[in-house]
Amino acid sequence: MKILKDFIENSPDSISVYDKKLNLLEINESALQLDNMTYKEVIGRNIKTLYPGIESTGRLKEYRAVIRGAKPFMSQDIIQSKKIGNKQFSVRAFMMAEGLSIVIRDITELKKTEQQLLKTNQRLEELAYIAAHDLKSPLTNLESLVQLIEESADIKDENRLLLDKINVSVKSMHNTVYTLNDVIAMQEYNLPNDEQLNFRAVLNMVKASLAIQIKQSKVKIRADFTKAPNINYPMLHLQSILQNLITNSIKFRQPGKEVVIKINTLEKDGGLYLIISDNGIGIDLESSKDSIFKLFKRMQTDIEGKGVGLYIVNSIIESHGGDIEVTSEVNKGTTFKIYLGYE
Amino acid sequence: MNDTSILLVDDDNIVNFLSERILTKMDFNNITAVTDGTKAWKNINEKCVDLVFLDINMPVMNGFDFLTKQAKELLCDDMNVVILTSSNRKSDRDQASQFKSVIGFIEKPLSQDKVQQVLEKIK
Repeated sequence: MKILKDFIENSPDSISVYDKKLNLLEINESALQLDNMTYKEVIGRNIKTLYPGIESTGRLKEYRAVIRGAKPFMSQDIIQSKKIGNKQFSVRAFMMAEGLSIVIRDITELKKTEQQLLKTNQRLEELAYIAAHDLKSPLTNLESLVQLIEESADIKDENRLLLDKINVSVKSMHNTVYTLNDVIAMQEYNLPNDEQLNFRAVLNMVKASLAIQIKQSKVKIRADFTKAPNINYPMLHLQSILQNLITNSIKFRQPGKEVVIKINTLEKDGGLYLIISDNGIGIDLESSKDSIFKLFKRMQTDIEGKGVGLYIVNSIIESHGGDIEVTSEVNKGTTFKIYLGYE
Repeated sequence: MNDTSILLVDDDNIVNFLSERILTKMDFNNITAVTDGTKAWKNINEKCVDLVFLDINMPVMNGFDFLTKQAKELLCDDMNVVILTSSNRKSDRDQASQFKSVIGFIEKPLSQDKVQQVLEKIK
């Protein structure tokens, strides 16, 4: 076991082992460095001698509890000292045959990175919000101004052409900016999911909101929720998932063929799945597997779309710790298998 | 001719220009435009107006600051305020509806229909 001993000796984590009376049995180099002591100075000494303040912090009580059979003790400590500066450590104490092991890891850098990531994320979110929102105001002005020119009767032929081009550009910008605002609004919702939803009831709501489209395209929706009828999920999010996927199935139907959308739920290993499949035109996944959930990505240019539905669906699902799997065959249909999370 | 006195408050001059055009078309002829809350406050201190179209996000004194000040100092008690903003955030809508003087919330751009709708409320 020499290898293991070397490994422990050279570990960047500070490792020490105490007997049941909390006398030091073994200690590695990192731990000695952390306390700035030599092996001879510390070995065999009691923890109270080594760390005179330990009793008053309550930590001693925790260690004794672990020795008596309590669960491993875990904590994150912030230590300030002139010598090491301001540092953060994770502390883990657990029982082994010989006695109590204490492993101390310096997580100062990790915590710093974590804080930086959080800040960067916040800044980016804010930037996206400001960009999307601040673009709206001048765009709205532009739209009104163009309309005013259109309403004035005397437009020369050559200007008519230019005005039409301006209109197309303004409309395209309108779509982008408003979609961005919708996407950001959807991500802002930090919604509680303590409300139990009934799949059938939510589907009926979505069907009502899509009534015209469903009627016009003569869609058959066959839903079976008997295997898992309910879920705890934010209403707005479940509605959005169903609405976007049903809308997609209607949009990308095969011309001249009756549209059938099958929706069912199932429970597997405690996880809840929602499966939606259609008999539409399908997606060529070979060429587009990585991009179908990206914002403003469109798989089809003949059919009108903004390239935002699947992006929203995916980001909702991921925000709840779930994932989405897609299988598809061109001219046969598409199936989305969504893992919604644990029940 | 309609001589209802109207005050437009928006830091974007083009918005004021467009709103004024629409209101003029609807025969309103007593319209003043200012670019932030402090100027609006100065304006109603000199003379109360009947109707204010108020933006929310403005420099110096924003729409909510203006409304708070007006409610606190009980100035121009029967003045009607319509929020005119590009924000469609529910929190902004909720906050606006807390003020007694606010009678409507319009998402930009202003149109004759939208003006007509809020005017129904003060008839």
